Amino acid sequence: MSILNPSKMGANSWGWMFVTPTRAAGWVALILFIILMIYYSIPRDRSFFLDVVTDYVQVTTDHDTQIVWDIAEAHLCQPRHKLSGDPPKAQLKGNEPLCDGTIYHETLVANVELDWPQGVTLALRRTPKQPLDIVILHDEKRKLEIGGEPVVSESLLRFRQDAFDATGGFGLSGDVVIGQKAEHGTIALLRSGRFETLEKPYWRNEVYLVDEGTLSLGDVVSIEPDKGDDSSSTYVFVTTEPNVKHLRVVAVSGEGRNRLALSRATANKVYLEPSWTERLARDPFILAIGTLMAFIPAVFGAISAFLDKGKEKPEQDNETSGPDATATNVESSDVEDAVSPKTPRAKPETATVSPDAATNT
Amino acid sequence: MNKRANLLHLVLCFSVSAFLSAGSTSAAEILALEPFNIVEEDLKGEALISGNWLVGVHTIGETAPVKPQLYSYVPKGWAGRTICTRVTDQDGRYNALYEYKIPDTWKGAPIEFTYPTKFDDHIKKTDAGNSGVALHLGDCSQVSEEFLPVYWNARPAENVSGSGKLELLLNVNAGRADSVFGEITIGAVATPLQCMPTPNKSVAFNYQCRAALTVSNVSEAGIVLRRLRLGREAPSRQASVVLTRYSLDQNQ
Repeated sequence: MSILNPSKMGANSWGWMFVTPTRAAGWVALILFIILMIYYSIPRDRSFFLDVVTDYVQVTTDHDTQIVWDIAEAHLCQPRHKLSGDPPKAQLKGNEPLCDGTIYHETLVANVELDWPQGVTLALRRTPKQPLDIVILHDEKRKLEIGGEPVVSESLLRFRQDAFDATGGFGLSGDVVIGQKAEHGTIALLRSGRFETLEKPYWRNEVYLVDEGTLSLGDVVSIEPDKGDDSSSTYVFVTTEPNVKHLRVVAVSGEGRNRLALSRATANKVYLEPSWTERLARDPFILAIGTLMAFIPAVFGAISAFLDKGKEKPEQDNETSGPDATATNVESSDVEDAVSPKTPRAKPETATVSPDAATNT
Repeated sequence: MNKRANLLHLVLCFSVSAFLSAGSTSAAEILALEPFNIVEEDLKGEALISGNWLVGVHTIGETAPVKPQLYSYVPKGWAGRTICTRVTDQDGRYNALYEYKIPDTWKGAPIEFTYPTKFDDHIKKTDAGNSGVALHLGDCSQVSEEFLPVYWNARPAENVSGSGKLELLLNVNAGRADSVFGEITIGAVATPLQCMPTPNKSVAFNYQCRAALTVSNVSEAGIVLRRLRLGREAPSRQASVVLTRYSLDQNQ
């Protein structure tokens, strides 16, 4: 029975909107929807995982770089135009030169441990002719040494395949860019790969996968800090696999306000950020709630049906012999309830409550 | 009280008129040349990939009080010629090609190239460090290798007529070079270019080369730019540039 009639309410009273059970449920659903939308729209700390086959990865080391490289053998090639004075001839200890002696001064680096300082940009590159080249870029004012040899910026650290294989791979941390834009003359491209975005929701401790996707030939990906936030360090591990001509790179960013930037050919850089609906749809908590919501009514329905069946069993004979049941010949339990002697069928006139009658009461 | 106010007003008017007259005298000495053809001016949402290697040829001065502003010394030998100004920002989104015609009776002097633009706010933020302006001989349908250095949103420093050197800045699209170097030669004197990768991820150019030059009068200089790529030397690039030191307060 309706308690309040909107047509009879005063203009200032909106209470009727909340009182009707259907409307109240609607309002609750709307408020819940808005709360969920806000909760899942707020930016969160996130981390990225990348697994990429590429020919190029660039890392600018940061203060977190405390990884020591153990190098058995490499060739350090320094551009002659950067060296002051007349540098000595190549010191290769019987090894074949790997660099053009007219433009590079080449030195063999053997049995050294490298601990890269902060602020050095290392471009690791693989080409059809060279298994691994590392272009070293740093501020000319600072002193950088490898195996006691001063290193100028724009030098090459060149590895033979067996020497690279012997290291197992290189780890680095800092700001990372993987791939180079697909332009004419670019050899070292990202070939393929995939990314995963993981986020930590507010007031919860777990981390869950909110987005994932694939990367294509010529893509350039980097992990950048969100506006106004400091960059968080990304760890990369660079290695090769047998019979694979490219570098295999895995990168894991630290948790923070980061964004995954993607540049593709001539298109503008875009940021691969999950939407609030993706966060919601992939949240294990929501999935669990959804499962429960679907499961509980089913259980209650089953229990209710079971109990009702137990109660109705002794009266089944009466029902089946009743004139209505035989007339309609239906088996639904709801209809059985309607025609059972416990809930006698009311006459149409008394069952209908007109609005006027309701207000009069 | 009134007398004091009148006196103040008089002094103020005198100062303003003196300032304006100084400005107009200075401006009157410089030819303001309008473009006869705006081939293109566009600010796109996406970066353009330019094929030109020399994106900007700049001289470093002090920041211009009014922007946009574009000055260059045009030598006598360019009288009656068409010149093209290519302007690109570091993002590669802004691209403009303006053509100017040098008067037939030109004797050689600084010119203020007026720069009408649809993107005033964007242009005002640009300077030699974050954009490239290449002013070259010939119309914009061709890329010649004869350049004039420009003051872009800048003007010659006041002390330029002193013993200071001319600071040249070249914004270079060196492609995938590992190392960029080169030299600029005036007469028999070769000065090495100090080339550094751009600190930020620029699209239009990725190296900036600088040289501080002693220039006594109008002189043509030869630029040779060399690049190391994938462990070997790529073919070098050549250009010529007409250099001179000048002040906007006096014609040379």
